Amino acid sequence: MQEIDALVSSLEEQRQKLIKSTIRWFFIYASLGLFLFFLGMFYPSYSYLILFGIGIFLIGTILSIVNNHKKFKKAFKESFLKELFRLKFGENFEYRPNDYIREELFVSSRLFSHKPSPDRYSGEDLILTSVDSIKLSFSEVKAEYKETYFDSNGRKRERWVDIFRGVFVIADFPKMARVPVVVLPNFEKVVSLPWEELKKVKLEDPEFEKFFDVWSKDQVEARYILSISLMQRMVEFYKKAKEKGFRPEIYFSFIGRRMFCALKSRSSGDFLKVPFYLLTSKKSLMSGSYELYIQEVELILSIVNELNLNLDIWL
Amino acid sequence: MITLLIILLIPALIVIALYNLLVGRRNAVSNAYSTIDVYLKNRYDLIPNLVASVKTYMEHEANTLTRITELRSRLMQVQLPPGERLKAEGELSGLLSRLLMVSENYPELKANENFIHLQRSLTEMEERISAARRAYNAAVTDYNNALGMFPTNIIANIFSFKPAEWFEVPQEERKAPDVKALFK
Repeated sequence: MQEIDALVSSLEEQRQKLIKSTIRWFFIYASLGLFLFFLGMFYPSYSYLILFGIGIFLIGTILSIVNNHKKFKKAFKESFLKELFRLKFGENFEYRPNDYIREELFVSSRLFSHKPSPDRYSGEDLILTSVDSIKLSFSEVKAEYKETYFDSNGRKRERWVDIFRGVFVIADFPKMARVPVVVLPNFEKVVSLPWEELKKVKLEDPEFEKFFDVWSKDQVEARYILSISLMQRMVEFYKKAKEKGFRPEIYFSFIGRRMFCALKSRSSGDFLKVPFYLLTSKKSLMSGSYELYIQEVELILSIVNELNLNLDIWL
Repeated sequence: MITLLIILLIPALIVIALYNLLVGRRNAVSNAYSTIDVYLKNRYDLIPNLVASVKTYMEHEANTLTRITELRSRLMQVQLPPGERLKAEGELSGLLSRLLMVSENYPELKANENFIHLQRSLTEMEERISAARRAYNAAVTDYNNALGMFPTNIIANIFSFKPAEWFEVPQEERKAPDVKALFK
């Protein structure tokens, strides 16, 4: 705990320096802006300086704020969160702020096969760890495709449409899925999946069926993977994630000895987001703002216990 | 004439469609039963090895081992009707899971690699049988619902479609095992 306090103090020091730097630049740009503003006022032939002064003040201030927020975000993730997670979750917890789950793995999960394949793919905040010897990796990912459409004037336009934006998780699964089993939120209204003649599997749990649709080409394999207890646990996890602010859109797939899970971004923002107010807040970081980051990670780590992935069913 | 043909053709097409639907569902039940059959036969292959591995360690479980062997032989030799067969298979599942649970009492057996391998294979097989049983029951539910619902019930009566039997878990298996009693 003392180590965490020391870490928070060090970050708080950096934050205060950045706040002071932002204020300093604000006054520099304000003075320069005002000087030019009044120059333009007193000398009408140089009246364009009024606009110039306002421009320097606004652009300079915004740039200094954005720049300092960028520096704060870097320090927050690369020095503070990295160390905080190591202290909280142990040595085998690896956090890479600028890395993410690879696109091949995202595509191989087949969770979004019913949508166009990604034209643009990015992410951040990769975490590699293990819980009770179950390997787990997750990160935020953003997959988009380019859509062409015609506007109201009949002109051809392009826009980026989200395929998925949120936390993408890959975990070891204790059973071997010989054929893929895909569990989609049932409001996706997928009529058919375009690969391997997947059929909808109707399962016995009415509450599970209320939230999810299951697709597989093998009815028995789907039931082998989705035991009655796993279905109940998935429903419980779904409810818990919803309570914690995730959108009610959770996707699962089981392929080989891996489980893929995709949780759409929270309504409050992205995974491990460093909001602007964290830099400018009057409250010190000591007041526990960092606890929210631990809770976010703990929710994802809880997948292992919530779904009982660590239960060795063979012994 | 054409009107008369249409009047006759439409009901005939409806009857054919409903008949085909019932046949399709009955076939789905047969397919699901065949899948269970494959897994059950795989389990029969594991039993002799399992019994041979444990009998030297588990002298107190001689009765259970004998009963398992008897049931296996009976199920392999006699072609029982599905309902009766599934009941006997349920009893066999119960005895095997009891055997695996009691094995916890025998440290030497637990350390035996051959036994560990058999235990894993058998547990996986039980999981697959359970999944196949659920798939079979889902197919039976679809089929039996069609037999009971209008208008397929009329076609079912005319062509004598019989309801299929569910694969029910025996009463003893549904109860949570009394672990204390097993370890006495």
